[in-house]
Amino acid sequence: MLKFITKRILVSAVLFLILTFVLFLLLSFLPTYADSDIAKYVMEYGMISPEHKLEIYAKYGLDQPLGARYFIWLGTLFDGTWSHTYQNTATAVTEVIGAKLAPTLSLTVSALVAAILIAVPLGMFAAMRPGGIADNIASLLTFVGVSIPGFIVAIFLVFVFAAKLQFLPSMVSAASKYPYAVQMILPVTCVALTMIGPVVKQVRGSMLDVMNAEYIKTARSKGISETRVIFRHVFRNSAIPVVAQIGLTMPMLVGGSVVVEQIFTINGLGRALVNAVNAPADVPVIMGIVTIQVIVVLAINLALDLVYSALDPRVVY
Amino acid sequence: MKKKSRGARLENAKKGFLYSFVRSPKGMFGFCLFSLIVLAIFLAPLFFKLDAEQVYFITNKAPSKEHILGLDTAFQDCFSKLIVGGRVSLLVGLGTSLLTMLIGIPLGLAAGFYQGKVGAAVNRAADLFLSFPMIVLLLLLVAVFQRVSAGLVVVALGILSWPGTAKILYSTVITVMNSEYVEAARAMGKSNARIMFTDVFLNSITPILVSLPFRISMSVMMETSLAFLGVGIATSWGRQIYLATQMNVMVNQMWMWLPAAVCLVAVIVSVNCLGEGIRDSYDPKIARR
Repeated sequence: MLKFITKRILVSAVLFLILTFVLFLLLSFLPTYADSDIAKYVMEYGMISPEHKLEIYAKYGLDQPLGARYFIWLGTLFDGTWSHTYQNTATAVTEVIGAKLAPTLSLTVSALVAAILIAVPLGMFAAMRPGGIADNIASLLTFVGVSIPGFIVAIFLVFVFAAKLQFLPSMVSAASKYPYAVQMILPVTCVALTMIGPVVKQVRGSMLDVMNAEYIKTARSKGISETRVIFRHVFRNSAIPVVAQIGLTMPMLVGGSVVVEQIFTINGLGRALVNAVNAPADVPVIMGIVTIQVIVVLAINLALDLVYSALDPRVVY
Repeated sequence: MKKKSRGARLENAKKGFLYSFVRSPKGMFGFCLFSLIVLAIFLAPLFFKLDAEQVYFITNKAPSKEHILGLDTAFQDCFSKLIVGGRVSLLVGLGTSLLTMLIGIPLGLAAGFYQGKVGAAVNRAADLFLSFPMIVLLLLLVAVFQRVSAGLVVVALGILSWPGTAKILYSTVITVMNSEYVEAARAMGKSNARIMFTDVFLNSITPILVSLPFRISMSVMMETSLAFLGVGIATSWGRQIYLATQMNVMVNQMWMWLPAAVCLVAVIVSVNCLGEGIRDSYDPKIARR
């Protein structure tokens, strides 16, 4: 077990290095803040001395070759600053990201919790009576989640609840007269809708699979009550694919809400990323957000493998 | 009732793929709706004079005889934009799916056939691409290349979505590799290359082909989302729908965004229905277990 974990962490670390380096390389092709500073200076004074040019490059740490810059950036991951933003070279990236993390997480985590609370019972009922009411609702929700793009769902919800009925706000802002929780209702609904479909489908599918198994027949023939059969025997044994499915939606916790954040003007990581990508690119901010993303994804993949072995004693590493 | 229809479907499927497909209401609905949209989009330029770039200097933006869907905030004809945008979205969807297969099939096949180190390498590479929320990487790629063209979006989406195809193929190839006919082929002394193509590849390609429609609708969705965020193709439907983020346009000038939204949903729904029809007719066992 310990060997397995160490091996996985090592592989993850290598993946992390490759990914961040490729990104760093790609981002180095973008026009930088230094270029726009120099352009501004030239506009104002007509020309620029090579010394001053170097000075500007040095201000952003761009006087070093690419490889050196990458290793300097890696080093800053350990000193708690994660390098400094280009926009204001006195501000640490971690400060910026720290401020944006809370809005994004409050959006996506509540959406995930809502999605699980709705999807798991719904999937169970759907599996217990295929073709029944619960099954039809489940099909409808899956259909909406799969076939209607998130931004259209968001616009539709805003149109109905904010513009026409006027009982929910269409934007999230500190100046709003509504409490924060009320402002978050529409955005959370949007994100949750995209998460519910696949989970319901997986719960229903894997429960139906298990229900046909021999050991469930055995359990029933022993005279155990139906509720106990469903909860103790069917649900537990069908949990693994469901957990995997939920795990697959986890990367969305950090980066999956870009569109929703844009529509509802939530100042989260997604918006910060869109802003940082728009020229001139704020490379340290982009690298910081991606780093969080990748760490979350890799950690979740590792955690999932551990959860599997907790749920199913047959899985041994 | 549900059980009966499933039995009927099984019976139909035995009589052949086309026989069963024509009799599946979902598949036929998707097929008809999709054909209608495709015909409308590609034939409209023959009957109407379309110019999505032309700026009209008139104050009345509402739908009129000259502009049946009105003008948008940039005073351009919405109907022309709708048709042009549809063409872009459909072509990008199709192109992306083809590119995905072009990259994913050789990699998935090689990974499943050789397994071992090759398999591990492909799988780790797939993890690398999958471990990333797609939209984030796309934002970056588009920013790196600065200019956005339909071709670039196809390349970016294709490069990012091959792991899905490769992983599906990989898992089927692995089961096929253990089958007796592959063993038989080996015993007959067939070369590796021949086994790979005639025995393994042809026997494991079905899941990929069956998932093609879903891949297309997924690509269309990604493309329009990008355009909606302002990093995609400027003529895309997503950009038209973006106008609805202004409260005034959303409520009072619905002609600017509603047709594009309806068309987009219609395309995705029809392609998905078509896909489900094909899947059900091809193998009713994997449909709605």
